[in-house]
Amino acid sequence: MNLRQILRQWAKSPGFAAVAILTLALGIGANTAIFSLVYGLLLQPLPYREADRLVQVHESVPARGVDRVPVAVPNLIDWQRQSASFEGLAGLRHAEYNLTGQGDPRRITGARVTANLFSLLGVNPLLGRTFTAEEEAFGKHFVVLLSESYWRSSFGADPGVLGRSLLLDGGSYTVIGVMPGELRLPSRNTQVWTPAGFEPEELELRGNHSWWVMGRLKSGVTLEQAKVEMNGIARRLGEQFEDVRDFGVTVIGLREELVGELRLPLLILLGAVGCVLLIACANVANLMLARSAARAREFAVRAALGARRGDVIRQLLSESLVLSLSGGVLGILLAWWGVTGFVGWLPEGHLLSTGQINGSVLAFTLGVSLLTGLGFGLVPAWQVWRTDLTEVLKDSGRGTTEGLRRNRLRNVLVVVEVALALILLVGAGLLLRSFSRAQRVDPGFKTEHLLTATLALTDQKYPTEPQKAQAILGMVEQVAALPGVESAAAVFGLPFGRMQSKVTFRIEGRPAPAAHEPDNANYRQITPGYFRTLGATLLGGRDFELRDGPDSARVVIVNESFLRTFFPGGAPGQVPSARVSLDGTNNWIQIVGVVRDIRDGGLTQPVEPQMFMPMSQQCWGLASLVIRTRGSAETLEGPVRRAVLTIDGEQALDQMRSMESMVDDTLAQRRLQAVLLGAFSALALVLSAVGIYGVMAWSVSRRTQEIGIRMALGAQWSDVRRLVIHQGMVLTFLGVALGLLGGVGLARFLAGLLYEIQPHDPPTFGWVTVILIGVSWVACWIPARRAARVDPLVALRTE
Amino acid sequence: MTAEPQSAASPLIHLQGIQKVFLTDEVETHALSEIHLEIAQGEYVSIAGPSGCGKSTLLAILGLLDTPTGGTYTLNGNQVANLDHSARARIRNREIGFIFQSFNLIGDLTVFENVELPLTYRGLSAGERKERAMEALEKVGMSHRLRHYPSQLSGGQQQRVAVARALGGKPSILLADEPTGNLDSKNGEAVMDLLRQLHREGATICMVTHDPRFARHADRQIHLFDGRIVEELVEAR
Ligand SMILES: Nc1ncnc2c1ncn2[C@@H]1O[C@H](COP(=O)(O)OP(=O)(O)O)[C@@H](O)[C@H]1O
Ligand SMILES: [Mg+2]
Repeated sequence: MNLRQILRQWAKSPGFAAVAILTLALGIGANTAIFSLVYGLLLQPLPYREADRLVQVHESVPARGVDRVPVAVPNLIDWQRQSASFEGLAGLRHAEYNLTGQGDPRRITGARVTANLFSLLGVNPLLGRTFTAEEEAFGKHFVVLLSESYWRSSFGADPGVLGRSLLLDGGSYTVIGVMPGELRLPSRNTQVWTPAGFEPEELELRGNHSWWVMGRLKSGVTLEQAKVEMNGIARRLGEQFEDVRDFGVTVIGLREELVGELRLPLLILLGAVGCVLLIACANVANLMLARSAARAREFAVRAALGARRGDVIRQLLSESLVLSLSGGVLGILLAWWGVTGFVGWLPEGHLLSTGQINGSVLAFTLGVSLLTGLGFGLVPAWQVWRTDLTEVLKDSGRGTTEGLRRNRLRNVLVVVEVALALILLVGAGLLLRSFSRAQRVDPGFKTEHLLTATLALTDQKYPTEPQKAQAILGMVEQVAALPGVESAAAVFGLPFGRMQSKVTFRIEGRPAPAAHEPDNANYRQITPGYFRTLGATLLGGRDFELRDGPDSARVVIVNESFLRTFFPGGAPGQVPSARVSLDGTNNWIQIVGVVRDIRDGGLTQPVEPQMFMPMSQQCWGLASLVIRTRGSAETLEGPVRRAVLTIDGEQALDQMRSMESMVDDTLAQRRLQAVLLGAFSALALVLSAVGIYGVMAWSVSRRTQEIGIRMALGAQWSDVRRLVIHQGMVLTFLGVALGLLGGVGLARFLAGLLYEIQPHDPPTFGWVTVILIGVSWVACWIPARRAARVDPLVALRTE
Repeated sequence: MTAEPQSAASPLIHLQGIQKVFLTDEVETHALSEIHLEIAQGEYVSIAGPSGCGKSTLLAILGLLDTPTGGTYTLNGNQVANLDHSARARIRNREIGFIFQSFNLIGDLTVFENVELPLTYRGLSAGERKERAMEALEKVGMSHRLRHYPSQLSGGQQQRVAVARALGGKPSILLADEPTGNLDSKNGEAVMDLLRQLHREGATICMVTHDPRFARHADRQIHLFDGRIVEELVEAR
């Protein structure tokens, strides 16, 4: 059958073609959209030469179950010297700079990298050159590479930028090159790269873990071999140096490292849209079955005219292929629209924003469309194959109503649809409930009306810790005096912030902890009034005061988890009279207060032991201002910036945002999963409801005669409605039973993504079942009502 | 058993000035005009006439499948012409037994279930339904085919099952619209014998047929022409 005939067929029943194409477009579009994300993240070649040999190398502490610790510089250097598995090992470290001399001071995001990084990756500069080995040395490191987007936005893509200098943290760096946009290391937002320029003490401190290390495996060397070799090196270093006594090494493929925990949710989503497509196929197959049944006479006539079965089947298949390709084209449009909108909605630099409809995605869609067309086209073709076409012509005016058993295939399709929809609903329900649990977690402080901003004081300007502390306290004071500000404080280690730090410590009078025993805590520096500003609760002891200065006795405040871990058995909030030491010396620090746990690592992360130091006694010059405002936090951004500038006219503030939006970000991943799976399961629900409706409506139209007879025999409207709904509900219940089994299976996959919700969460399963049954009841109700409108007079009619 | 004589004062069915007008595409079809008809308990009435003269329409009105455009219809002393849907369904179920030309058995149900079907709309207990259905099937000689599906029976057998289904509810009247129309003559005669037998046992029957041989089985033969009763013959017995 040629295209013109097919189009003529559709013109005769435009409703059929429209519903079929739209259904397919939704199914194929959803798959195209999710595949474009999967492709962008999991399949697309990384923009580096032979990227499958690139790995990320971390230190690890197997005894504590920690598999990724940043690398200390002396270890990196020893690895470079001793390992034979790699063509090279490069180090990089996130850095932020105060950019001055170009209008208002600004914070820019950058990275310090070893000179070999770019050749290791196989990335060439767009303009200029990369770093030389000499420039890696401290003191020779005042050169800088720009990212393409930074070069375009801030320098108007001027090639003359080479040789100009940038004032970063007060140092003058010469621009020597521009790197292409594909280079997204260490992050998508990186604006500048500077040479590592290891400082003398960095080269010394083996306990200072703060570098990322990337390597290129020599060809023929496997990940396993590299792991074995590196762990051998780590063991030898551990025997030599106390600081890395229990350390090992983790070697991990670069893709795995970048994709990380997004892989599972993405694959689950891909499975979900696969289910949606199956449902769409089942629906269209059902429509095709209904039509081919209605067209049985046409086929019979064709057969009588000499068409063979094969011809009829070819006709059906070509029709379904044209349908599915049309659906595919519309689906691509839907997907393009969806992906563009979705990527625009993602936060800047989100991993998934690499999703786009490109050639590979289009090829995928074409493949899916063809498979789909074959899939739902084969069903009616098979039906035709089984029926004896010549019988159809003879078959007329028999004395019984047509049997329903012939519809077994259609019923099976509906049952499968319902089951798939239920499985997806279970998944979405579990994720949504987890999300809502996570959202209701009490962070331990009041997140509303709280403005935060981050700053970094440079050593150039503030060489000593007391100077830094002085400046920060000055800024806090200025900000606190602003109208509309209730109180202000500063902290290193802002809740949900990027700067986090851990320290190991000893408790006075106790032996050094064994390898498996806890010996560390999160480490924070705060100014007096921090807890009050945050709205956190001091359970016992006292807050810091201005008198806790550099010369007075050293003090620390700990959280509840700290007490639970290190001083179990004490009354809650009771301050242990104990002292700790952070540097292994007899420089003891007295615990003076206990604060209620603040969930600052993420709402759903367990709270770890924490220590808070007064900034006036220890200050690294990295701090976040926290500002409790009377009204909306955002309106104070300008005044806060100006208040800081009154203390230091060159001090830039970075990441100025409300605490509420930061909390929101920590939920983003969960929200994303829940929303996407929710959307697709809703789509699945709608499609399967359409499927049930279609089958029931078709069945009612086929059973008109039977229904008329029943009414002639005295059936009431309610009897007839019950008849139809019963038929639909039997299918639904079968589907639900199957779906519940499948849902239990899916839930197991999801377990890792859930928060405080069991995979077999009864309310989720219950509600989802109720919703599905309700929806399918409605889908049956409409044809049931139509059935009740059948005129019993049809019983008297004879064809 | 003989039919009890029925007093003329309270016939089972009384039609007075019944008319039926169909309106299709602005065209009025007067399917029935000024029909006066009484059917007494235990009577066997046949209706004959050319195709399109209104036989089926009359039967539909008698069976409460359709409502007349005018006139009154009294069944068992009750006005039934203008009842609502639900009340008509109830009366159809209790008072009327239909036998159709095309049998109209339900293909998905077994012989037994088909016969039982009208009883389920009456809320009878399963035991009672079974008893009545079996009794009806025995009457038509089909009690040995309970578990068969209609498609497994011959036309004559199917129509006998249909008769059993009509009998099962112990209706006041059996209405049959050309019950032999889809049967060969041998099977047709068997079904007619069955109806005559039922009549002898006391059943009231109103049957449409255009076969004069079968019309003669009836006590009264009514002839319709163009929606009117043009002739009424009373068979001398
Ligand atoms: N539902 C209807 N709508 C319109 N006209 C009808 C309808 N049913 C019957 N008629 C018309 O009424 C007349 C009588 O029909 P019917 O009672 O079926 O005749 P018979 O059974 O005697 O062959 C015919 O002219 C027929 O066309
Ligand atoms: Mg007729």
